[in-house]
Amino acid sequence: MKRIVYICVVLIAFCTSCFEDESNLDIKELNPIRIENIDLQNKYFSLFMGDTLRIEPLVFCEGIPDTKLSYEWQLSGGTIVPTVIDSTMYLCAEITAPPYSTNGGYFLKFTITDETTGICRIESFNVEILSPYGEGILIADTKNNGLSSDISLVMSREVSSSISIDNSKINIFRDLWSKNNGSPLSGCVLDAVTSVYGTNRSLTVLTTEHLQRADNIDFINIPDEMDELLFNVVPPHIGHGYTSGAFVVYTSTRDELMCADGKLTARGVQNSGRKFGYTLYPAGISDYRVTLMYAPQYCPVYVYDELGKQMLFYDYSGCWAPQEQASGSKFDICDLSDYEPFYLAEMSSGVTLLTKQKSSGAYKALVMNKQSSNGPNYAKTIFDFSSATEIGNAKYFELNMLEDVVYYATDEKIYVTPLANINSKVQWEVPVGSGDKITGIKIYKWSGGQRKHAVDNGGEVEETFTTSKDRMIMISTYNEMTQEGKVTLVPIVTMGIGGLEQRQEFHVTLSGFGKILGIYKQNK
Amino acid sequence: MSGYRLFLLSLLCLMVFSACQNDDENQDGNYINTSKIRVKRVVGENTHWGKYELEFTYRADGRLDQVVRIDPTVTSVRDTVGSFYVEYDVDFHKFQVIDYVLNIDADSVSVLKEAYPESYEDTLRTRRASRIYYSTQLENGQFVARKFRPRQNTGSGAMFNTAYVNVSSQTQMLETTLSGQPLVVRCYDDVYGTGGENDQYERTVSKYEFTYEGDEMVSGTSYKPDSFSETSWTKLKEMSFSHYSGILTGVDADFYKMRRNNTTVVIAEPGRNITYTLNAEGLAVKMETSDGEVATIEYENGTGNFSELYATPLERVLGKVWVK
Repeated sequence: MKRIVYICVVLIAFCTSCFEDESNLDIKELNPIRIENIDLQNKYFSLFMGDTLRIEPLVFCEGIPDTKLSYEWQLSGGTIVPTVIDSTMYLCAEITAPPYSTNGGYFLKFTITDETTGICRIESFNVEILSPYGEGILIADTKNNGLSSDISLVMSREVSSSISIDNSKINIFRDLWSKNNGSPLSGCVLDAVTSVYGTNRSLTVLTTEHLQRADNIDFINIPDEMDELLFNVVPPHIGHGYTSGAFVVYTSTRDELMCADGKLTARGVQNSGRKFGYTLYPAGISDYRVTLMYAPQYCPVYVYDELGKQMLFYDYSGCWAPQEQASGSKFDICDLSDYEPFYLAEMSSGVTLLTKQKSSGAYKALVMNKQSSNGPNYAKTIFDFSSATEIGNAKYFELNMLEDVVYYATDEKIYVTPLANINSKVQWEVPVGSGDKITGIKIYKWSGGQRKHAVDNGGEVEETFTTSKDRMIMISTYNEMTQEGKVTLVPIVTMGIGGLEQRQEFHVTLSGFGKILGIYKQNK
Repeated sequence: MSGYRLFLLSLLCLMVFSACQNDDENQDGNYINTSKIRVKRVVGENTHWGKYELEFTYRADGRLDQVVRIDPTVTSVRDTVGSFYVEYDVDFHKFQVIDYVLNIDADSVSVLKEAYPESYEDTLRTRRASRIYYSTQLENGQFVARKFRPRQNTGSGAMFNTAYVNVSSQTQMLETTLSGQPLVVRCYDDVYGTGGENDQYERTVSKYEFTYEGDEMVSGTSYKPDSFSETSWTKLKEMSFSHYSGILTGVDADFYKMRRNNTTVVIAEPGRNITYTLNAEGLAVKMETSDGEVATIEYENGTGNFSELYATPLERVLGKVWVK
């Protein structure tokens, strides 16, 4: 009996041992999605707008083919719509989002999805976008005959204090308005000005269509600061397009003075001022039309009223007309009806109005004393430069506060003549046969930047750098055939005669623009 | 009698149980080490060490304990001029090939020699510094192999410096099949700069994917990351593997070739050929290279892990490892 029981037990064991274990063995542990080759402890990136952001992680999930992993890099935050900027493992994308660094900047979300299970791994990063736009000059141009215009920034050692003289690289950020706002400026740029007072930064642009405002570190249009919105009380001439315009900065308080369609309005940039005041009217003057303005250092702004044929002034107290001038003055700034002023600037003798005298047809430079307040003795002297070569064909004029000379340009040549002893010399001309025509001349009157010129040292030519301020002229040209505008930076090397550097290797040509409308300073 | 029957029945049960066990033993391939012998001594010559002799000792569990390198040129003194250092932990190892280099400049040696002509060599033996020539480390699933080299100019006086400089580093992350065979090897290849930029490196990321027919690896493909590719990767190179009776007999790629028969392995790489003479266990007993390196290898019974310490996973996959 025992034997039978034992045999049964053994047989049961025999059968049992051959039973398959049918419990579910098809259980796989899910391996984590791994991210290697980047430091996940440091999730902060900082780069300039327009730079390419590269993040190169090695991502894999053991047991899952790489082809079953999908990737998404999404940038969000600031004012942008969340945007997928790449969908591969390696992020490589040009960052076109505007500068933004508040609270660490933009939020970059990296989502890796295991398509076999739908399981995701998400890593987040902070991306600070900085403005690449530093000190330099702004060049406004149009490529469609004034239907629209744009602004480019040039940064080089000639125009930027932050670029060393050893660095000859020229950075041109082209068409910044279009690039940062999606479309160019409507109409033709009449003038532009940048102001920086602490955190109160601005680029104000007056075009034939609009008065517009942007932050000058990102060039992004500020919709709330445009035309009428830039005024608490809107003057009647604002918001209907503009035919003429100019800006100057009153240096004592750094107020911006704008002349739009001949009317003056001012904006104090201190105390975070953003809006312009109402139209300025000098006491006793009900109407005026300003056509020329100049702001000498630490003196009132000099303006010419074409309607009243007189000079007016602006300072911290407002706009005012000069008092009656002393009898026997060489000219009367309260009555300039015998003159047709066409240019106002400063030379070493004083603030000077270039005019054509109606009665004689002579070209006269009316030199005014620089005065810090109203007075009876503005008229200083008069220079007659009628005998200057080709003065009748001159279209563009410039004065230099370091010398008593007149720079004037015809279509193809730049002449300079001393005013005390008229002796015009051609200092620059467009390349022969190039088809280029001069469209403007402007001396670089701002601080920041050094330009290179040659010094003849006993037969040996040596290179030397000198501040660009008042020692460099910016010549705009345009070629109708190629429709290309250029700006050529030429050192002024001989003061007193306006001698320009003749060696072309010391000229800097900025090309690739449309028709140049103006050149302005981009402040730090 | 009943006792005998009981014994037979019990034996039958054991046989039945045994018959129902799966055969979980790994297949022998080029990657998995199944040798029953282990390297004991290597005598050879190369450009870095000159003539050398390596003596291997193992721990009780078969893992490598230490290797000493002896300079055989001075027969009167078995001068230890280097060692292999090993450190283990769970899923971790550190392996270093260390050179003991003379750490005083030539001028000082001359002074010593002049002052103590009889005993200066004893002094020199105590003025040696340890310099890592090659190292590997397995940590967090990453196998890192680093190469160093002596300075071309060790300087003199206060500027004397015998520290080795970085040459390259390779990090490999191995993904295996369920049976432990290599499926993907993901790599970083770092090449270090020279001079003042020797602490900086340029990294290349790549991966190798392998395919199998049954248990035999038949092909491999290398890729590099590519942000312009929809798959994030672009194919670089292909390689094929051939086998005979489950043994790897050849690897073909445009950057590497390996051929093996019963007695010989020939490896061809750009600018260098290596020939191994194999013993009956299929391990190298002699090595010769086209640039003049030679070595003879002796073995002893027992298991070891030397090849898993010094060779990268990819080198083992490609059939480069014949000293185990």
